[in-house]
Amino acid sequence: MAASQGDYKDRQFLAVIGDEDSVTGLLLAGIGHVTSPPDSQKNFLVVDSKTETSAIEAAFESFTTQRKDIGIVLINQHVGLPPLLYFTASILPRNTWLQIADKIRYRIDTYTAAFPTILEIPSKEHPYDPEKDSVLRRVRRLFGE
Amino acid sequence: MDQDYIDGLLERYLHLLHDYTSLREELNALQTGMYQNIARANFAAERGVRFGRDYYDDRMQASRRLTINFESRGQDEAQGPSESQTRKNLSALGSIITTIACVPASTVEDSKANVDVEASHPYPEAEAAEQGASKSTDKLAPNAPTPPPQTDMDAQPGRGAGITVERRINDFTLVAKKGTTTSQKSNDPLRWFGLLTPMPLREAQTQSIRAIEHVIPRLASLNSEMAVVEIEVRRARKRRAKSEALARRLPQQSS
Repeated sequence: MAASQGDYKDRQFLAVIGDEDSVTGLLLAGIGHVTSPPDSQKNFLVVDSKTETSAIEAAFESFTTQRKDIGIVLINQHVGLPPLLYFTASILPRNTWLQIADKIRYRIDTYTAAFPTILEIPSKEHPYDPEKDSVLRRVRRLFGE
Repeated sequence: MDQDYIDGLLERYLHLLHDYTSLREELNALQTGMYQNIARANFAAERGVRFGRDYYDDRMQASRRLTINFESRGQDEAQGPSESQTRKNLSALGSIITTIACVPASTVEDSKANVDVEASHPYPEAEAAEQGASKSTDKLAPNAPTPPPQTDMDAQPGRGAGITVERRINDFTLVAKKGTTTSQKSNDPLRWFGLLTPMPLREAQTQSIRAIEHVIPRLASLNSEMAVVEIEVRRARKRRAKSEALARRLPQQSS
């Protein structure tokens, strides 16, 4: 336990995956960090309509698995969809649309490690939705719903 | 006996859930204000200017960092006796219970401020220029380093241990060879957007700092504490189910 606690001590940064305004606002608080070259790694990813889902997943993987200096990962509940997925989503039933929008979230719901902690935050376009919050989903599971 | 223990755990869990939902509401309010202020700043900005990623500094260094502690909160006595007992039971299980804390500005990493210039300076190319500036300011500046500006939020008292965000103020402190005079450079992200930033952007920064220092670390702590309680509830339920099954079997065998 002592060794693992030592590892946690190194986790001193917050990471953000979100839309431009979310990231700008959080960086204004001074959480942004770029590691020293040559492998300059940022602790944030700005997601817009052009960002591929694979890029979001890669960033999530990097923040949660590869980097050992991240303590909390903040992610917008609703991340932007690529244009093609927007078009596909618009012609599909709502349930299917939710499945596509949650493409990255399946990683969050199956994420069980203690550190880094994943926190979902509302985005500019979409208010906080308790139905999608992974913590409240856990609460429902505990009470047998 | 088991049932009482489970009830105690569930009571504790519901308290945590209440805290979690109220903190969520606070975070929502802060973020809504932050988005509105950024939108206002963008609206009032000059044509073509948008306060966004185009202005980010590619060499940015975090001025707010996390510290993760594993000591239990010193508020157990202030809580109800059953709650305190539940927490002690959970701690005895060896579970990691992270709790809430707000670190005052005076507890900032002083040791990090005294490391070598080459190792600590985040902007090496600006170092030479700054050293030159420090020579000129040495004549004017007093020997003691100027204290960092304290906000009202920084002055709030600590609430225990846990995941916290602390300000690393002295990122730019250059220790002179004599070791007596220091100079500081602003590490404020607002400077990315120019010297005269609009008021809404400053307000957005204030709200963001409040969210980062006071709400998000507490949410993360509550998240981990709720996870610990969930695991313990499930274990207790399994133990109860086993003991009930055993109790059912015993009369059958005796008959």
